[in-house]
Amino acid sequence: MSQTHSFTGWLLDLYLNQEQGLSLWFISADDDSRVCFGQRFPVSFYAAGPNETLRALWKTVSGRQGVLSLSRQRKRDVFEDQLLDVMAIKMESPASQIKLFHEIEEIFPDLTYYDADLTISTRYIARYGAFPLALCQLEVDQEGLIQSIQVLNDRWELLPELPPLRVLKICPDSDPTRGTVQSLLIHSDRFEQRLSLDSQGQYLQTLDQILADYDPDILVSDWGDSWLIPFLLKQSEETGVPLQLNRDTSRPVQWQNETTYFSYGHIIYRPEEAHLFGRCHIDRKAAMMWSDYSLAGTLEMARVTTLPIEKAARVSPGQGISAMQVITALEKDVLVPYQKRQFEEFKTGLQLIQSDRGGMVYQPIIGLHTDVAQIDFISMYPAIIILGNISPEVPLPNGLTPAHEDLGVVPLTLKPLYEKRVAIKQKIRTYPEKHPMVAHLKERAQALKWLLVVCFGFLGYKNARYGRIEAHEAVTRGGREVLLRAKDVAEEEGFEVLHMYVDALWVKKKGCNKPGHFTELIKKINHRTGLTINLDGVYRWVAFLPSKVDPRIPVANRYFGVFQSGEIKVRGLEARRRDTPVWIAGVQREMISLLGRACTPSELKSCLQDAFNCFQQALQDLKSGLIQPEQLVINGKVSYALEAYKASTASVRAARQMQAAGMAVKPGMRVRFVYTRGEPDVVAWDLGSRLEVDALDLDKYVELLIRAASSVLSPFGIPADILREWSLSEGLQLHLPATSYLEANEG
Amino acid sequence: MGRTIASITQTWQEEEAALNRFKRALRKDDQVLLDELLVMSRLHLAEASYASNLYPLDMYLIAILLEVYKQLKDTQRKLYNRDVLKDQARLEEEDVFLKLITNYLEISSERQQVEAPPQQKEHELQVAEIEAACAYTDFEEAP
Repeated sequence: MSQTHSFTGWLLDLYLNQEQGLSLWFISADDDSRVCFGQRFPVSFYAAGPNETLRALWKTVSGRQGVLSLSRQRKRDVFEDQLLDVMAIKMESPASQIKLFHEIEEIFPDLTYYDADLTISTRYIARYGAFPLALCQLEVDQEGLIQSIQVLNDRWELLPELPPLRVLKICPDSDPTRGTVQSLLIHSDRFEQRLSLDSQGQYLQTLDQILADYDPDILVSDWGDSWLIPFLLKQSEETGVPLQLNRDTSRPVQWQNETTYFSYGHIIYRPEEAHLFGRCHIDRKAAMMWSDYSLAGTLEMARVTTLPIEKAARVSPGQGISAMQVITALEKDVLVPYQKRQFEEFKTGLQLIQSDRGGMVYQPIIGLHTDVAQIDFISMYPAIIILGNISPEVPLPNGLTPAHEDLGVVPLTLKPLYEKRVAIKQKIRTYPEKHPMVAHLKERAQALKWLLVVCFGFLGYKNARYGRIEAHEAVTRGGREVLLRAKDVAEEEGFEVLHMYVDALWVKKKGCNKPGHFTELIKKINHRTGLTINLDGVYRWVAFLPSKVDPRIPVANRYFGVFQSGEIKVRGLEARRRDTPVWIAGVQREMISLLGRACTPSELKSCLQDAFNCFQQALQDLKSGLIQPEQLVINGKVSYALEAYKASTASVRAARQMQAAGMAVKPGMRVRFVYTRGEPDVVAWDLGSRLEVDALDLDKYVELLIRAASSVLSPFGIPADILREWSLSEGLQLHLPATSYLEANEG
Repeated sequence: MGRTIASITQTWQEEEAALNRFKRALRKDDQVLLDELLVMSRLHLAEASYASNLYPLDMYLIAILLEVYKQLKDTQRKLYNRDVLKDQARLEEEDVFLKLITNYLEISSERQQVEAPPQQKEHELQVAEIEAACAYTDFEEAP
C-alpha cells in the first residue's frame, strides 16, 4: 500500500478528469495554498424492464471499456410500492458512464433508466457529503490521488468556517454594447488598477501577471460571458500574448451554449457561459439573482444545493432545488428516474375546477388607510409542505393533517432549508441594525428564500423528477385554508381585514397602532393554523391603488406605504418595473419618500405639497432638456422570434433595427431603446449611435412621468388629468385640490 | 394554477363578453348602470374563485346582489341617521324653547315678587295666565 499524507482544506471546484475520474481543487486550511488532487470515482447506473431486454443489454455492455461490473439488484423506486429488480452497471468513471448511457439509451429506448444523468457534484455529495466550500480532511497518496475524504462540517451550519476567498473583479469602463471600451478596471481586496486597452497587448501581459500573482479563487466580471472573456481570448490569440484564465493550465476555457427557455410566464434568454477550471467565473450581468443576493447569497446557494459555484450563480433556483431533491433520494437509497413517468390522475370537470386553483388573492379596499398592520406567514407554502407532508410519493393530506408519518422526498429536502432560513433570520435579530453581519446574513437568507419559493413551483412542474400536480394543488388548497382561518381569527378579534394576498393580511382596528397591539392576534392565528405568522410592520399609512384602466376596480398587488420605522414599501408601481426608465423610477421613488416623511395624517398635507413640487421640478427639468438620453432608456423585451410578431410594439421595432444592423436578437432578450421624434419613433440603444436630447420625443416621456406621478398622487385626490393639465400650463402654479381624506383627518 | 381551466378573471371576462350584445341593445343610461353592476361583481373575484362553482356567473350575480344590498343598507343607515339627527335637532329646539319660557317665567315671577309680594298660590295662577296670553298673542299675530 502506498504512503499517504493528510490534508485539510475547503473544496472549491470539482470537475471530470478523463484519466483519474475527478479533479478536485482545495483551499488549504494550513498555508492558504490552492491544491489540486485527483480521485478515482466509479459510478453506477441502473436499468429496469422485461427480463429478455435486460439480458440483451447485459450481452451488449458486458466486456465494454469502462464497465467494472454488472449485477442484478433489488432497489426502491420512490413511486413504486414494491422493490424493483434492476440491472446495476458499475462504471470506472463518470465520463465513461455518460458515454455508455447515451449509447445504450439509443439501442434500448424502452428500458427504464435510473441514476443515469446525475451530475458529478450530486453523486459526490451523496457519497461523501462534500459540497462546495465544505471543510474536508483528506488522505492523499503520492500520486496526488485522494484515498479517503471526511467532511468536517455540514451544509446546514449557521455560521460555517469559510475559507479566505480571493476575489478579483474585472469590469470594462463602459457598457461594451454601447460603445468602445477604453480600459479595464481591476479590483481586489489588495489592489485596484486600471488597464488601458492597447493594440500590442501590453495590458494582457499585466492581467496575466495579476492572475498569476494574486491567483484569484473567484473572478467576478461584468459582461464576462458575452464580451470580456471572448474579447480577451481573441486579443491574446491575435497579439500572441499568452493569457491563462484557468488555474488548471491544462484546460482551455469551457463554453456552455446560449439558451432560451420559458419560466414562470416569461421567456428568458441566457447567453453563452464561460466556465473556468480550478477557479470560478461569475458574470454579474448574467448571474440571475445577483442583484438579490450577491456573492454571499451565491455561495450559500452553492453550499446548500451542492451546485458548483459557477453554476449556482447563473442558473435559476429551480435547478438548485432539483439537485437537492436528488441528493435526498440518493441519501435514502432511492433510485432517481432518468425520465419522469407519472401522469396526472383523471379528474371530473368539477374536480378540476375545484382543485386547479392558486392562492387567495383578494381585492383590497381602494384608498389611503392609516395604522395598518401587515402580517405574513413565514415561508407559507414550504411550511405547508412540511406540516402536511406533501410529496408526490406519499398520500396527500386531509386539509393540513398529514396522511403519512414518514416525510417524503420533498418535505425531507425542505425541512433543513426552512429551519436554516428561520435560524438565520433569528440570528439577524441578534445584531445591531448597521452591523456588517446583518447584510451578509440577509443575502444568505434571501438565497434560501428563493429555493423555498421555487420548491413549491417545482411540485407542479411537469418535467420535475419529484413533481406531481395533485401535490402542488394540495399546497395551494392548504394555503387558502390557512389564509381563511387567519381572516376568521382577525375578524373575531374585531379587526377589519383590508386586504389578503396569498400569505399576507393587512388589518386595522381602532386604537391599534403599535406592534404590541397585534401580538395577541398573531398568537391566536399561529394557534388556529399551526403555522407561524409574523408582523411585517405597522404602516403609518398605506395606499391601495385602483386599476389604471378602471379606477373603480381594485388591483391586488399595486400599493405603497410607509412603515412606522420609516421604511417604504412599494409594489406594482412603475418604480418596480424593469422597463421604466431609470430617471422616471427615481422621480417616483423620491415622491414616495417625500410622502413617507409624514408621521401623522396632519403632516401629510405639507409632504404632499413637497411631492407635488418634486413632480413639478422633474417636469421642468425634462422639458428643459436637462435629462440625458441614457437616463431615459426603456428596457423592453422580445419574447418571440421577430418574424412571429404581427403587431409592431416599440420593443419589436427597436429589435428589428438591431437585427438590420447585424446584431443577434433572440427570444427572451432585453431590448433597450429610447423614444425619438419623427421617423423612426424609437432608436435601439444598443446600436451605439450618439443621441442628442433634442432628438428625444419628450411628449412621450412627459406622459410616462405623469403616469408614474399619478400612481403616487391619486390616492391623495390628485388624478392624472390634473397633472396633465398642469404639464400643459407651462409652469402656471395650480393649487393642490383639498382632498377629502386630508380634510377629514384635519377635522 | 389556472392553466388547465380558465382563471377566475378569465371566466369573468368571458361572462362580460357574453353580455356584449345585450349591453349594446340597452339604452345608453342603462349601459352605464350595467357597467357599474359588473364592476361590483369584480370586487368579489377571490371569493368566487374559492367557491369553485361550476357556473361562475351565479357567484358574480350574488356578488352584485351583495354590493347592491350593501349600498341599500348604507343608504338606509344614512336615512335613519338623518332622521335621528332631525329628531335630535327638533328635541333640541324644544328644549331651548322650554328653557327660554322657564327663564322668562322665572324673571317675571321675580319681578312680581318685588312689586307685590302676596300669597304663593295666586302668583302661580297669574304666571299660567301670562303664559297662555303670550302664546295666544303670538299665534294671533302670526302672518
